[in-house]
Amino acid sequence: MKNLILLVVLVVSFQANAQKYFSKTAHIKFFSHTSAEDIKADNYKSSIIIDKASGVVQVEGLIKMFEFEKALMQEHFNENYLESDTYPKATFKGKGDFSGVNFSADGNYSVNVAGQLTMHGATKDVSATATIKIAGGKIDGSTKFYINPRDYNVKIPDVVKGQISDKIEVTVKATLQPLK
Amino acid sequence: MTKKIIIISILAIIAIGGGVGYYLWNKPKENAASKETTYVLTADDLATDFLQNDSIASAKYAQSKEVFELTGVVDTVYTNEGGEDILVFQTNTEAKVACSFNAGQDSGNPGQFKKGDTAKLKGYCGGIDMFLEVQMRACAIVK
Repeated sequence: MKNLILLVVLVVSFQANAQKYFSKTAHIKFFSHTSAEDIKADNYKSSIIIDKASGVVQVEGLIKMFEFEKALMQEHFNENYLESDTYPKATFKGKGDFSGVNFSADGNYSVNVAGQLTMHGATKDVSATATIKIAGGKIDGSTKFYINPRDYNVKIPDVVKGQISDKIEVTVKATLQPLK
Repeated sequence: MTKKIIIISILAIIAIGGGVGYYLWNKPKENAASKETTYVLTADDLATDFLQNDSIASAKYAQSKEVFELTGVVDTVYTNEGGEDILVFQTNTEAKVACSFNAGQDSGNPGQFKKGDTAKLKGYCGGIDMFLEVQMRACAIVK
């Protein structure tokens, strides 16, 4: 009887774990477009975890791991704008309804996700539609939304104001794996 | 004559200023190879400090000016979707240390290492992520 209970507990906990999907190599991209300049930063070492049962979504990117085309841009981003020595992470914690997503069969889904993005010591509500594409066992998730640097207390000097958009496009892409 | 000197001086200042600005704007991304080391640690020590207290370790190590010489036992080596090579150190804790190399830059060949090999490299620390991987950037192999 004890063994049977243990087996049930193991099966239930395995199923509960199988409801979580993650990536350690998620890609977060910041993109700023102005008539003067396009600026892009990529972090291919971001983390994401989705709990299908509870709908909880967590995304995290270490600020210092964003790579820019130009060294000077990266320096300014870290030292002057996002002050990554003091605020090392950007984190999103939110919820979406994944109950209709069948992660074990091919299909395309749209899920609305809403939550809070914390960056540079400020927290703001953010919502976006995430796309989940499942094909041949590969689970690709992606989403795009816009943020204003001023909402996160990022001070941009007047001299470069024309070069940095107040509508930064944030893209998150990840190939998700079941958490075992 | 004085007027001429003033004009030449102004032009020279503009030219030098422009040159310095152009250089700074286009200066290449550097890895940590030629930077002066501020911490000599093992991957085990670094992971242990982060697991003990993430905030204290971040404030100490995840700083732009701190350059690490790190030694550890290799767990995996792979290339991510951004074309960056990643060398992951296993540690004697539940955490790992993932070291990334700038794409398209000669920073040694992380592909030479296999699981279980000992490797030594230099790099900067970015902090620890939610999967308990301490992340290092702009790394270079120390020969």
